[in-house]
Amino acid sequence: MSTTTSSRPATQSQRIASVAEQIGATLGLDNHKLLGAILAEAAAEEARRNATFAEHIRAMYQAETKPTRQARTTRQSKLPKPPKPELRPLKRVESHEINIAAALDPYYLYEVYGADQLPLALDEFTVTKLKEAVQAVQKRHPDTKPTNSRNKPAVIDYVVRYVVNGR
Amino acid sequence: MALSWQEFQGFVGYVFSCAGYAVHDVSDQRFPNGTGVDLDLYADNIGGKLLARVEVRQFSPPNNIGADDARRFWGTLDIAGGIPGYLVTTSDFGAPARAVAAAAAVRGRLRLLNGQQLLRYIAYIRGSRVKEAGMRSPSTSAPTPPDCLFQADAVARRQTTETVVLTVGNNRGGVAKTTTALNLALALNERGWRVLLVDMDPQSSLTRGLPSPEEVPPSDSSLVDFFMRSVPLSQLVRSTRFKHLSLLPSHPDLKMLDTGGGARPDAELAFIAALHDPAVVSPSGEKFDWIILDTPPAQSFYTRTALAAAHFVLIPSAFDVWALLGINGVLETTRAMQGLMGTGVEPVGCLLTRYRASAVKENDWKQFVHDLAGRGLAPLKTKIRHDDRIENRNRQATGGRLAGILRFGQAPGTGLIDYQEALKELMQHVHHN
Repeated sequence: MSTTTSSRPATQSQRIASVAEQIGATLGLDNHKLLGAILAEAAAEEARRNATFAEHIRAMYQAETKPTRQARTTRQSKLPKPPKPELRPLKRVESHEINIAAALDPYYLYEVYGADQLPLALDEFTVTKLKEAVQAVQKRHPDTKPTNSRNKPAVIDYVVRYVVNGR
Repeated sequence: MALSWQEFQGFVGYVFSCAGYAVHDVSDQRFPNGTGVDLDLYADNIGGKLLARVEVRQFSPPNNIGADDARRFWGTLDIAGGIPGYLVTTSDFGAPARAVAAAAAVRGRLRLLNGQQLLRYIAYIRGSRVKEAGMRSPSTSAPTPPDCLFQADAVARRQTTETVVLTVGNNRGGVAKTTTALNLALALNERGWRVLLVDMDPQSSLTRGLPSPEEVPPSDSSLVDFFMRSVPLSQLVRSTRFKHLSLLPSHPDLKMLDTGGGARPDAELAFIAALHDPAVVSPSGEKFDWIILDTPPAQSFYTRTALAAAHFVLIPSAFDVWALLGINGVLETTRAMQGLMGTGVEPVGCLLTRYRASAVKENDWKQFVHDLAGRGLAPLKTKIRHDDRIENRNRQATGGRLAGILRFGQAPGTGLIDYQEALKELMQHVHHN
């Protein structure tokens, strides 16, 4: 029977309990919770009197709080995204019916926003919704399809290419 | 794509045909029909009662029609027995041509229709008559002449700097039109503005919800008296239990007078002139800062008239498929009324009511925004969140138990707070324009 070691890092309370357990075994004390609190108070007292001990504590603390590569990545991802450029309609299409139940019509979006803004307008929709736009294109261009129908940029590229350029 | 002159002439004939005329192309006939006359307009069928004659001149701006063309057509009309005539152009008329028409107008015969007016006429006809040339509905059995544009131009209207006239409309019912009209009026009232609410809905919800003050004897007078007996609107305005908030009441009999969604320019313009008459003031003689018209659901004469009378239209809508489809109808009518009035009603935007964010799918919302954008519109940033307290207040108010319960000071719920925010947006739009 093999023993496996958990790769998950111990939580702070687990670490406190572990240290208290070790000291308790050495000193023969079994109330580990109380022992943990007493150890913390004793360490605090020692740090006040002993500068070397205090510096050792500080070094250990800084070593553990140093940001890891993964943490930096996480922090970067939480930065606010730059605002998307605002879509500006270029013309009115008075004959177009307001109907959210209708299929997404890329030719209408092209008419309203023009070629430059069409990718941005399409990008507002999910890939599932964009499939409606793909179907609209395929009605006019049978036997064509996006290079990857599950990849949003690929779908948008396909729709824009055929709606704007006809190919 | 530019039309040839023959195509343009055919197109003008088609427009008159859609306006209810029986159109006869006489451009290839010789005198006395010939020179200068392209189309004859009959009431019912070609060869029947001749109503008017048309000459079509396709000029490119800035080339304008001169006096000679106008005089020649006038002469042709004179020879043909004084039949009224329309001189239609893609361009415009110079001052000399207008002077000729003014002289001819003594006998009411020569009318000039420039490119802009032709577009207005097309817009009005498109939204006011059955969309098939020669087809007539019971409410539009007679042709709709372009003269309605000239009559509309002659109607004096209030300036937005003095009185803002706002219509609340959506062809779909149950989208909180009345609630919106009432709450906006109350929010304005709270800010000290003097407001007239016009209840153009035969269901009379506003009228029921805004009873007269206790000291004022009840009255049965309503808009019915205006439409049936031509009683001036100034005599029909009544006070409510809110200071500075007056009401032009409705009555269920209004539905008996409704002629539907077809063109009735004379009746439409009569109401507009009456509402914009400076004599329409509160019972205590105060001028109104705002006039808000509440409209019935569905396309009706009252919706059309309210849109034509307003400077702005606010479109409340719930975020459901049917309610959003109702926006199409009100926008179509708005275009028609813009055609009639020239500088007419401007849509402020769509105000989402009874809004539950959790029920709105992101894709649907985006599609809605893009659909509106293509019509030159946007939803208001403010959304009226679903608020049970508003629903309860509506229930109490329409039971005639005093709309004072809607007062804002009394710990307003989310819906009422949202209406105050919507009003701020509305005010920005109105003052910006």
